Amino acid sequence: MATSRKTITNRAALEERITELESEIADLQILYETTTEHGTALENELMIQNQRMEVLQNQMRKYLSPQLYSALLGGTANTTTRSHTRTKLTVYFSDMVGFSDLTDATEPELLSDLLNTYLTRMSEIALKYGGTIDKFIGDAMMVFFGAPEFIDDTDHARRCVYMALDMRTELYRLREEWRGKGITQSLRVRAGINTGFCTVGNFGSEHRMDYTIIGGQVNLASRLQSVAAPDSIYISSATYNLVEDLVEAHSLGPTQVKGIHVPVDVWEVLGLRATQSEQTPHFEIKEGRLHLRELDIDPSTLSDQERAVIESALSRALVHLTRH
Amino acid sequence: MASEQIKSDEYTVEYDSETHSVAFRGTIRLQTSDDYAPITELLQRAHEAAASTRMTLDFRQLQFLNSSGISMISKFVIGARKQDRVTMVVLGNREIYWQQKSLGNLQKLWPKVQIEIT
Repeated sequence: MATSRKTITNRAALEERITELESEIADLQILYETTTEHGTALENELMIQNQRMEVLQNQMRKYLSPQLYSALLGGTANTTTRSHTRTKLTVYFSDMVGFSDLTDATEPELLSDLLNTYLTRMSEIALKYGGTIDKFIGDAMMVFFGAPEFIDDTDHARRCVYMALDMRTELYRLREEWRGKGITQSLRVRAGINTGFCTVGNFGSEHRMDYTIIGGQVNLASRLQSVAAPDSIYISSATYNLVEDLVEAHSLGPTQVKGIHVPVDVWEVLGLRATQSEQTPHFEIKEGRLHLRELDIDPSTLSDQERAVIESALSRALVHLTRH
Repeated sequence: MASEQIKSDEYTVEYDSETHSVAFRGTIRLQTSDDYAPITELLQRAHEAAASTRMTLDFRQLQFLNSSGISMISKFVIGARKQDRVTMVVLGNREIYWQQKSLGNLQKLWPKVQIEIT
């Protein structure tokens, strides 16, 4: 009898325990689902934020040079306000002559299309040569070489001069396009290049910073641009010494530029020195005289290479013609 | 106001013993249940003190809580349900993406929990 009562008690206790365990399992199940759902919500939000970041990064890419963009995203760039370094850079300035006159006489839509096309093409060339586009000020451009990635002084100067010459050739092409759109006024560009120690880094306030360069050598590049004749590229002797073997240039002698106390030696870049492979049968400059050979061609039969040779020869001849 | 606080650079957990409320603020992303132990203990003390009155868990300014955190809160709610001594009120913010779902789930663990998402 006593055994039977004990069995019933044990059974009741067991059933109670089973009920408790079932309740705990149900709790654990809900706990598991709660935690999983919470984790999923966080993961989904993370995904949405990543997508937003990707969109923002793509937008940022338009405003920054690829070097600066990867330095910022890779975390190698110091973004604190007071991070400045002194670095030897080659600095390029350009400004369009006569653009402001055009603003009065041309439809705003056409004008903005023209300016955007010009700046886009010039930016593509700057990026092709690894330049850091510092800023656009209306139709003016400022590009520098040597930061945030430093290679060597000669490399920076050479790439900068290559870029300036390519930009000028592209400008000639653009003029033809614009002429086709009814803009008869010839838009011309002045360019100045200097090499020297600049202070590079983030300047501005805690709210808005620019990665830029400052210093006397930057000012000199800007001044060279402002004294340059339209369609010409003026370089300082510091830059010329690094690109002498690369370019045809002639000395303009000591030149007084605004804001610099002593006259500076200025060189005008005419074009690249013709290497063996670039020598052309179509034109030659000898003792200051321009010799153009007779050209009698059917453009539709030209190969790409022949076309490039003639195009390059005529561009160089045109530069020589307009500058002398 | 009598209060007790657990504070780090990223978060604050503040217990107000007069109103029996515990407010969570900032970002809580501790790694293990051991790391969460001080918060668990604070919650338990608040629960003890609330006796048979109302206890409030205020998440309205908590931007982020990781999975270990929601697990800790859930276990605390299960413990409170077993004792069934207080009226548990949970305050949430609908602007914070995870709160509506995850705080709502606390009701599955204890249907008496009052969820107020504003």
